[in-house]
Parts: sequence; C-alpha cells; structure tokens
Amino acid sequence: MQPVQMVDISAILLLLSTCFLVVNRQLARGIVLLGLQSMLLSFIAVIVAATTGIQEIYIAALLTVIIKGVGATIVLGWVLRSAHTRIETNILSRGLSLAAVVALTFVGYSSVSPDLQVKTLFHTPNSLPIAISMVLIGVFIMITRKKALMTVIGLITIENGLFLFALSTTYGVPQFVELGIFLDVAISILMLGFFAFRINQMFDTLNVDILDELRG
Amino acid sequence: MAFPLSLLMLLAGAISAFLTLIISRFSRNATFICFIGAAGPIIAAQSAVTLIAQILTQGGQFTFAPFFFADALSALLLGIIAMVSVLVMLYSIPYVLREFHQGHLSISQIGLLYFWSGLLLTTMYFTVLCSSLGVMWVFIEATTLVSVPLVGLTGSKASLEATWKYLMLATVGISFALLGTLILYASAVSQLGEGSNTLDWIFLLKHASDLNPGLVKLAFIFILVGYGTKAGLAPLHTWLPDAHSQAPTPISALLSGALLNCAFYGILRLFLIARITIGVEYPSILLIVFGLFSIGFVIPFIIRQYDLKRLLAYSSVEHMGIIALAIGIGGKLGMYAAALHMVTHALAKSTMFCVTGEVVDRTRTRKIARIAGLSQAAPIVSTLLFISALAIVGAPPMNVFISEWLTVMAMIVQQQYVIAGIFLMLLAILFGAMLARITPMVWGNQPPMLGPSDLSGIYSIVTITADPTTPMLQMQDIPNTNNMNTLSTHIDPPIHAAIIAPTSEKTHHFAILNGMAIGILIPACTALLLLGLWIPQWLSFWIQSASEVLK
Amino acid sequence: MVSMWSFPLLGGAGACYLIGCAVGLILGRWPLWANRFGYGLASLASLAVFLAGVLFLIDPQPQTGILFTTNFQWGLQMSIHLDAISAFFIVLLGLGGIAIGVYAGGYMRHFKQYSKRIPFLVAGFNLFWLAMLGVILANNIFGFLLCWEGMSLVSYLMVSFEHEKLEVRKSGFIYLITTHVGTAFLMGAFALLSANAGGSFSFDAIRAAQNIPAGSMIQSAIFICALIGFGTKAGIMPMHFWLPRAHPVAPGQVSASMSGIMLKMAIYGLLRVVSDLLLGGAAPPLWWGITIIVLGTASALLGALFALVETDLKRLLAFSSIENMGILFVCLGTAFIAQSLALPALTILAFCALLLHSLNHSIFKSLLFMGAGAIQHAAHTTNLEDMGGLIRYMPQTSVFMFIGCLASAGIPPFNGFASEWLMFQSVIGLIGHSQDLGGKIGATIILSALALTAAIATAAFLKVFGVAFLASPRKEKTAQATEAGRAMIRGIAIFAGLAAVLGIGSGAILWIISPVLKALTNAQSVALPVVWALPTGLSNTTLNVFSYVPVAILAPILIILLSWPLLRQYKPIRRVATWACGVKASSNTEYTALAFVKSLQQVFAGVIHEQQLIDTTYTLEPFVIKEQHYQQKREPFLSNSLMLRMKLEITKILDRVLFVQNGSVRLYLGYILLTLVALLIFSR
Repeated sequence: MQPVQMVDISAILLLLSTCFLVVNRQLARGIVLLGLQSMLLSFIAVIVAATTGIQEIYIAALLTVIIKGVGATIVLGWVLRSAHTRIETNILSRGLSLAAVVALTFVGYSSVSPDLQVKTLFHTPNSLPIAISMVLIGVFIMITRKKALMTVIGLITIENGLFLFALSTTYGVPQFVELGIFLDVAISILMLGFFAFRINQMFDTLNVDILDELRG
Repeated sequence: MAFPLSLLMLLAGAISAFLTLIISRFSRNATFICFIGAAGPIIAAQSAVTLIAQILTQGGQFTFAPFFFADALSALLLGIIAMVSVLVMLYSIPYVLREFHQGHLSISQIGLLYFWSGLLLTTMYFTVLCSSLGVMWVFIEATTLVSVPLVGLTGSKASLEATWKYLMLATVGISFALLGTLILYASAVSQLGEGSNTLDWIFLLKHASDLNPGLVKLAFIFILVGYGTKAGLAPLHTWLPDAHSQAPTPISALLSGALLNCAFYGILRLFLIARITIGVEYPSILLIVFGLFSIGFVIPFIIRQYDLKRLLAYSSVEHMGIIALAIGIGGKLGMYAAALHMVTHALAKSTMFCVTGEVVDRTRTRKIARIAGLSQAAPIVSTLLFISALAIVGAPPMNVFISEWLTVMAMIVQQQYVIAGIFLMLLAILFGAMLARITPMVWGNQPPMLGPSDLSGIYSIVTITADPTTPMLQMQDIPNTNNMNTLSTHIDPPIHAAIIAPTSEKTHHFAILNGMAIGILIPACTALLLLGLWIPQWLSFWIQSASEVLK
Repeated sequence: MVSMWSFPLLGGAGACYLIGCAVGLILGRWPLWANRFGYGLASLASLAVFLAGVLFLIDPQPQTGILFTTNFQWGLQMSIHLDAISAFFIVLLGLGGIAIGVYAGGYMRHFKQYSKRIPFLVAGFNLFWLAMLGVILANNIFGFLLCWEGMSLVSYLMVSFEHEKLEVRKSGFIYLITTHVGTAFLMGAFALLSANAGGSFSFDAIRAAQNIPAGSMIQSAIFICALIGFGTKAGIMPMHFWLPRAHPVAPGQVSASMSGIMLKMAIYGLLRVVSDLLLGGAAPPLWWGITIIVLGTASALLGALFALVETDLKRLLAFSSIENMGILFVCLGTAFIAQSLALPALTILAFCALLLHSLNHSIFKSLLFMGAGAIQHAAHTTNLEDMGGLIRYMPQTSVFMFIGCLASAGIPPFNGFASEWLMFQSVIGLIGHSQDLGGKIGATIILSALALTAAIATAAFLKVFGVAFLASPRKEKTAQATEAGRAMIRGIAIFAGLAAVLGIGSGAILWIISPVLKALTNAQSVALPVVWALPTGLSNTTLNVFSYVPVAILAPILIILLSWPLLRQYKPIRRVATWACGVKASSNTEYTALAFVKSLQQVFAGVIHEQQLIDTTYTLEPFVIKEQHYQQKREPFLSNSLMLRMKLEITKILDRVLFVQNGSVRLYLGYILLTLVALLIFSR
C-alpha cells in the first residue's frame, strides 16, 4: 500500500472513530475512543515523517502520543473516577446525531472544493475535508453532550482535526509554532481537566447544564 | 535599533508576576505585595511607550529579531495595552487592599491575581510584537490561558461557571483561528514554497496577491470566527458578559480595555492580507455584518440588564462592533475612526470599570435596581460614574463621540447612507438604554437614615435601598458613633455586628484607600472629557500612523 | 468700526462664564456667595455678549470673521465666527442672560434643603450659557455638535435638580432621550452636508461648495433630518412631548432660560443649516415651506388649546411655548414659500416677523417663567387652583406678570402683538400672492387657524391672571405668600420693561435686524416693513389691509378714555361684602381655572380629551348629597399610561429575546458552530 493511501485510509478511520464518539454514550468508552483516535493520528504522523524524512514530525508524533494519547486519557480517567455517573445522556437521538454528522461532513467537503486542493506530497482527496469535518463534529459533540467530560473529549477531537490538517497539507508548521501549539494544547487540556474536577467538586456533578446561573 | 533593552523591559511584568507569587508565599504584608505586583506592569508600560516612540519616530516596519516585528499598528496596540495597564494596575492597589481588609481576598489570592495579570500583560505585549501569524496565535491562546484563572479567582460558584464558559468557548474559538492560520499557511506553502518565514506577516503581505483566493477566503472565515469569539463579536460574544462580570474589577477593566483589542488585532492582520488576495469587498462585508449585528444585538441585553458589570460587558460587545464596522467601511477616514475608537473605547471602558469598582465598593452590590441616590451619598463617585457613562455612550463632549462621529462621516463619504442611518439609530437607542440604567443609580433619594455625606465622599457611606429588605452597608466609613446608632436599628444582625467591629484605625485606613482610588480615577475621567475637546498632536500622530498601516 | 470690539467682548464673556462656573464650584461651601457671584458673573458675561451683538449689528461694515481656529486632524476643530445671523441671536442670548442672571441670584435663597446642590446649579447655569453661545458662534460641524449636545446635557442636569421626585427624574430622562434622538438626526444632516463639501467640517467650506443639486434626494434628506433634529428641540408637534414635562419641573431660572432662550437655538439652527449652509440664499423647494407652515400651524393651535385647559401654571407656560414656536415656524414657512415663489418683499416681511417674534417671545416667556418661579417660591405651588388673590401679596410680581400675560396674549401695545402682527401680515400676503386656488384656500385656512390661536391664547392668559392673581386665595399657603426678593423682582422688571418698550418701539429696532435680513436673503439692500406706518416696500401688495398705527396708538388711549368716566363716577367708595345671593362670598364660590375654560373646552372636546371623575358621597342616596368631588384629568400626548403599556410590551418582547443568552454553554457553542457553518455555506 502506498503511504498516500495509508494516510487516506487512516483519515477515513479517524472520521469513523469520530462518528462512534458521537453515538457513544459510555463515558469510559469515549475516553478509550479518544485515545485510539490520538494513536491513529500519531500513526499518520509517523507515516508522514517516514515518507518526507522530516525528523521533527517524529517528535510531533511522540508528543501526540504522550499528551493526547496517554496524558489526556489519564487526566480524564482521573476525573471520571471522582464522578458519580458513567453514562452520558445525549440530547439528540442517535439517528439525528448521525444525520447531523453527515451534514457537517458534507459542509466540510463542500468548503474544500477540489480546485482548492493544496499541492502536497500527499495528494489525498479525503484528509483535508475530513480535518475540517472533524473540527465541526468536535464542536457538535460539545453542543450535544451535557457532561463536562464529553465536552473535553469534543475539544480534543477538534485539536485532532487541526493536527490532521497540519500533517496532511504541510507536514506540520514551523517548529517554534508547533512547539507553542503543543504547549498551549497541553496547558488547556490540563486546565479543562482541572476545572471539570472543580465543577464536580463544587456542584457535585459533571453535568454542564447546571452552569446556567449567569444569563441575560 | 536598540530593541533588546526595551523588549526585555517588557518582561518586567512577567518578572514581577513571579516575584509576587513567591513573595505571597512568605510575606503577610498585602500592601507590599500589591506594590510589587503593580510595579512590574507599570515599568513594562513605560518601556512600551519607549518602544512606541522608537517605532514612530523611525517610521516604517521593524523586524527586531527572528520572531519580533512591529509597525505602527503594533504601536497602536502597544499603547493601548500600556495605557490600560497603568490605569488598571494603579487602581488595583486600593481595590485589592480594600477587598483584602474586608476579607474578600486572601494573601494567596492577591499573589495569584498579580501573578496572572502580570503574565497576561506580558503575553498581550508579545501578541502584538511577533512577526509570525503562527506565533501570534500561540500568544493569543496564551492570553486566554493566563486570564482564565483570573476570572475564577474569587472561587465562587458563579465565577467557576464563568471560568468554564470562558475557557470552553475561547478554546473552541481559538481552535478555529488555528485552523484558519493553518489554511493560510498551507496556501502559502503550496504557492510560495516552504520556509521558516512562511507565516511571517511581512512576507505574506508582500506575496498576498500570489496566494490562492479560495483558501485565503476560507482562512479568513475561520480566523474571523475564531478571533471574533475572543474579540466578542456577536453572536460569538456569549462568554464575555459572564467572564467580565465575574472577574475582579481591575481585571475586568484589563479584559475589556486591552484583551479584546488584542484579539481584534489578530483579525486585522489577516484582514490586511485577505483584502489584497480576495479583494476588499468580501472581508469588508463580513466585518460590516458582524459589526452591525454586534451593535444591534446587545440592545435588549442592555435595556433589561440587572447587573452593573454585565452592562459594561455588553457595551464592550457594542464597541467592538463599532470598530469592526469602521474597518469594514474602510477608506482613510474609516480606518482612522477605527484606530481612534480602539483607543477611546479602551480608555473609556477601563475607566468605567474602575469607577464601577468604586460604586460596588460603596454599595456592596452589583444589582442596578438596588443602587440609587449615589449623587447624594457619594457625590464624587457618582460624578465619575456619570461622566464615564456619557463617554461610553458616545455623547459629546466625550472622547468616544469623536470616533463615533468620524465613523458616521466615513460611511457618508463612502456613500453608505443606509448603514449610516441604521448606525445612528442604533447608537441613539443604545444611548437611551444605557442611560436608563445609569441615571436611576445617580439620582434619587439619599438612602434613608443616613446623615448627609461628607463632601469628599471619602467618609461617606452609601447604601442603597431601592429594595429595603437588603440594606447593604459599607460600615467602615461611618464617621462617628451617633450615626452608627441610628443606623444599627435598621440593619440585620450579622451586618450590624460587622459595623460595630471596625476600629477607628481601620476606618482611617479605608479612607486613605478610597481617597487613593478616587485620586486615580479623577484624572482618568478628566482625560475622557479633555480628549473629547482636544486631541493632542502626538496622539493624533500615533493613531494616524496606525491608520496608515490599515489604509 | 465699532464691531472690532465684538470679538474681545465675546472672548471676555466666554472667560467670564467659565470663571462663573469655577466660582460656583469653589464657593460650594457657601451657597449664598456662590449664588451671588456665579450668577453675577453670568449676568456680566451676558451683558458683554449683548454688547458684542449690538455693536456688530449697528456697524455698517462689520468685521465678519473668524475669531479663532484650532486645527486638529480631520477637521476636529473649533472655530468661531460671527456674522449677522449669529449676531442677532447673541443679542437675544445676551438679553436673556442679563435678566435671568439677575433674577437667579435671588431665586435659590429659599431652597435651604438643596444648599449642597446650589453650587452645581450655578456652575451648570454658566456652562449652559457658554454652550448656547458656542452653538451660535460655532463655525464648524464638530464645534456645533459639541456645544449643541453640551447644551442639552447641561440642561438635562439642571432639569434634574430636584431629583428626589420621581416625576422630575422621569421628565428629565424623557427630555434627555428625546433631545439625543434629535441630535442623532442632526448628526445625519451634518454628515451629509460635510460629505458634499468633500468631507470638510468647516461651515465656510460647506458654504463655498454649494454643489448639492436643488431638488435632489440628498438635499431633501438633509432638510428632513435638520427639520426633525431642530424641530425636536423646538418642541414642534409631534416631537413636543418632552417640553411640557421637562420645563415645568426645572427650577425657575432654568425653565425661563430653556423656554426663553434654548428653544430659539432651534430656530437659529434651522436658519443656519437650511437657509445658510444648505441653500446659501437660494430658493428652497415649495414643499419645504408648506411642511414647515403646516407643522407650525398645528403646533400653534394645539399648543394654545392645551395651554387653555391646563391648570398647572408652569405647564401652561410650556404649552404656550409650543404655541409660540409654532408661530415662529409659520413665519419661517411663509418665508420659505415666499422665497420659492420669488417674492422678495414677502420673504423679508416673514423673516422679519420670525426674528422679531423670536426676540419678543424670549422676552415675555422668560418673564412669565420667572414670575411663575417667584410664585412657586412664595406660595409653594404651581397649581393655578391653589392660587388666587396673589395681587395682594405679591403686588410687584403681579404687575409684571400682567404685562407678561398681555404680551403673550398678543394685546397691544406690548411686544407680543408687534411681532404677531407682522406674522399675520405675512400670511395675508401669502393669500394675495398665491397663484392657484389651492394655495389661496390653504393660506386662508392657516390664517383663520392662527386667528383662532391668538384668541385662545388670549383666553388662556386671561385665565392665568384672573385665577392666579385676582379674587382671594383658595389655599392657606397661598395667603402666606410674600413678595419676591429684590433681585428676582429686578430680573423680572427688566423684561417687563422691555416687553412694554419693544411693544411700542418695535419699529425702532427693525433697522438692527436689517443686516440679518440681508444675510438671510442674500439681498444687497432690504426694504424694511415699517411697523409704524404702511409698509413702504410692500405698498403695492395686498398686505395693507390695515395698519398697525391706529391700533397701537388708539387702543390704549381709547381704553383709558372709555374707562375714565366710569372711574370718576364712583366718587365715594363704599366698601361692603360682595353680594353673593345672600350667602357669604368665599373662595369656594370663585371661578376655578377649570371652570373658567369649561365651556371652551367643551367646544373643542374632540381635540382635548378630558377624563371626568365625579366622586359623590350621599347622606341619603340618591337624594341628599353630602359631598361631591369633581376632578378632570387630561392625559398628555404620549400619555404616561400609554408609555407604561409600551414599556411593558417592549419588555415582554425583550424578555423573550433574552432567552438567546440563557446560560447554556452548549447553546453558545451552537451559535459559534452555526455562524461558522453559515459563513462556510454562504461564502461558496
């Protein structure tokens, strides 16, 4: 199999795993899915690194595994253990959620028309639209889920989409920018975990819908 | 150019931030911590002014080092941040000390407040000084991360809620901005080849016409939505009233006055590139639509507002809309108006937030309905409140009027009569809506059973009782025991106990702090007034240079 | 070259106002002294302003010129300029300032409970006059708007003087909002004007550009914006609703200066913006004049009617101000119509009426408001029903108020008559000059409406004087009224004297107006209408239905001659109780203000909607009535209940809108996603 095809298939797999995230209701399974997603992403990074021979991408892959694959899973698992609930209540039915995902994927595909394709080594038809779709679906997950935990998972999905985009178009951005991005992402995930923990502590629930005192 | 020194001096804020954090672990002296914490940002502001002077006097664009770059637009933002930071840091000293002595803030919280705000200022300075759009994104994201703990500083349920929303929405928004930046980078790489300076603003601007229009358009959309969330353009502004109302007051002033402009700066940089690549029309229309929508959207929220600080937060949304509108209208005049409005709004809004801090301190409530009769109970504070409110609504002879008027002129010159008509109408409605909230606080009966207040407003008490069930009292200010006795009959037991508690020494202490706060705010409000009558040459030159970049 | 003194005088006056403001604040601890010095300085400054205006007008070759200009970027300058139009209005301003300043020095003495606020009022008063001076002298858009809004804001603050009262707060707020909306329209008008002059803010540049095509949309838009903007300030119906609320609640000198002087700023603004900047002396489209004249007639008639049925003295005076502003608009409209029909003589006559009536109204309305303030001061009421018999307690005030009432009612030989007479002449001239039947009929209808207005106004002021000053007091507190202080009386006396002098001497001051007329009509020389004889310049027109002379001279003589034998007849004066059908005459049997106009009010019942509340208690129902209370209520235009209902409705709608910010972070994220998706879809 060509590296290009491998990236392409991995991207499609990423989209599929995101779809699973949307229909999934078990919080624990969500965390596992997220970890898988991150691993898949770092797999893509390794392929890109191996093909292009750019050393820094290995570092990026490693960082992805460490921060998103392992770090995020641990932090989220830690929050989950301190919470009471294991099951997420979805405000949309599975069918409707899937329909929305399809629509968002369509938006992703339609906004990147073929003539906009970037000339890269990996001229994959799918990775660019899927990256944008993943960003949109990530927000969709955050909208339709009530638990702070799933919100964080949605956010990390968005970050994964961004990383996919960076990898598949430009093999990553300049190193100092990349470093900064990773640092920011790491801190923001930590913060989100911390505040999800605080919410659980203070309100005794991970349900973000309780946070509606400030209005008007 | 002698960049490294002034650039390093900008780090003074960060250095003092760490210092205060360390000192607050060992020292119990709140005053000491406050002065250390405020000193750093003020030194940084001073060096920012030096930097501006260097940029403007030598003209043109500067690339100081691999990652640093400044032009007149950066100088504008540097000046705004410096201006706001000096005002806010000076004001924070009496504010924080008062909160400390009243037991609302602990020593470690004070340390954290100065730690994060010092870092926030530093990240804001570097946001406007970096040459790469990617690095700029990193710094803008960093401003979010260091301002989040500030919003949640008080640790109340409401502040936790605000923090969560702020973090969530700002992070999502900023992710979009990153996607936009990446798309731009992809476009640049595929068209111009890869290089370490591919995301450099100067480089991109130079080759803007070679970029792929479709991709730049996509990038502009993502960046507008992304940074627009941070800059508080409606309907992406939703976190803003929560965060700005829950943060400690000086921080609210910092967020509204400086941080929003920094986020808008991100939009501006891309706007300048997109304008060349895809033509001026499309980005302008987007900005006009967002601008008008932001101005109109806040009207119901201002009319029906119950919380004083939320009121100001919504007004910030409105003013960011005006800036976006002025940029969208464009032309020489429109750009000048936008640059001027950034400055005038930053000054007026941060002043007004600080004045609000005084009002809240005197009345111990942020509920508008509970505040009345300020002009009798605290004449100076109420005068400051009225003046700054007039500035915020853009009534002449205040400084905001000039920029709003120039915005109208820009529209007429560009023959956008309909937009001008809508804009004027919205402004008139907002004027009424805002003053309908502010005037009831200023006028009205003096709170019952309180003696006539001292003219200085320092010893006076204020308390407000449109709602007699909750007589909130700031007790330290009561000058003599006679008054106290009359008062005590009307006060619920717990508050009563608190009133008796403070010693005369403490009263004296509060009087000094109140006097200090007022002493800082009077010049600020005077500046609002004077700048409406007279724009000095140097100020005009500073703004003019920035608008040359935008033009 | 006497006008060379105008500029230093004006500079000195400006400084004097500023010092007065500062003195008011510095002497804050000693309100009495703050009062004395602050208002003294205001009077002094106004004297300088008055002299500056007069010197400019009597100079055959005045120095029309810029006093100073400060140059900022983008034309944000404040240049000052004096020409004939502004000179006339600063004469008016100066006159008002002298008398009101003198009056105000004594007014506040008795407001002991407000002693803390008095210094601020003094400061505000000085600033107010400075702002009005700035409005008149401003020679660029920025300066004009700055002073205009400054004037509004300061007057708002002064209206809110007694802000403990809910009514005051409400009225003040309505005033603030209304006037700001007016300013928004002015901003629109000025922005359009400036854009046509290449974006310059200078009046000179706008005057020089003159490239707005006649009859174009832009021209009409500017006119409409200016009309709404200035019309709001002038209190022209239907933008008048703030006026009867705000003027009565203000302290005496404030309502006097607002009604007397500030309303004239609207007239000045219309002349400056429409006649000078927009038209530059060219003929306006016909419909402009017609619009103005129709609005003016409606305001005059309705204002007079509302004044007639009003029982609150200060509110009555406020309605009378609306009536008089209507008359001024009729004059302006007539002048515009005459201009567009190319009738120079009629134009001059109408402008002359406009200027003269501006001056006269500012005099007698300030006089009446000052008098009302004096009564409020002494009797602690503005309700006519509580007054009565004040002529015994406040004899000097009564005499001066009598003069004011006569002037306001347009009775010769006082000044109100002189200018209303010119107004009638010009409308009659309009009938004669109309070419088509429609015009003639329209003008005739307007003439008859104005005649009716004059009659109603007479009735209204007859009521004021009769009910307030004659007979005996109806309330205890009224009987304890004492004569107003010396300073107040002096201020009132100045204007009463002027009202009398200008009534007879109107002709004598017309030559001062002539440079203004020249400036307004772009004419080299103007033939002045001669008040004392047949208008020479118009002798071949149909204006000379009859002349002022016989009326003005003969009427008072006739009155005296006729009444003399009657007076002589009762040589031995026998003092007995008034015959009241056998019962003892008391204040209960007096005519009340309400009863006095009841019959007239019934005639106009279709226009003036009254609510009658009759509350009867019976001793033996339904035959023997123990007590009966009659109350009559009239809801003002945009009545409180209507406003409340509107407020509730709007609140209901808004509260529904507030749902969009309901605190759910997921909803907020949804907005972001929706915005993004919408942009992505629409930008394809």
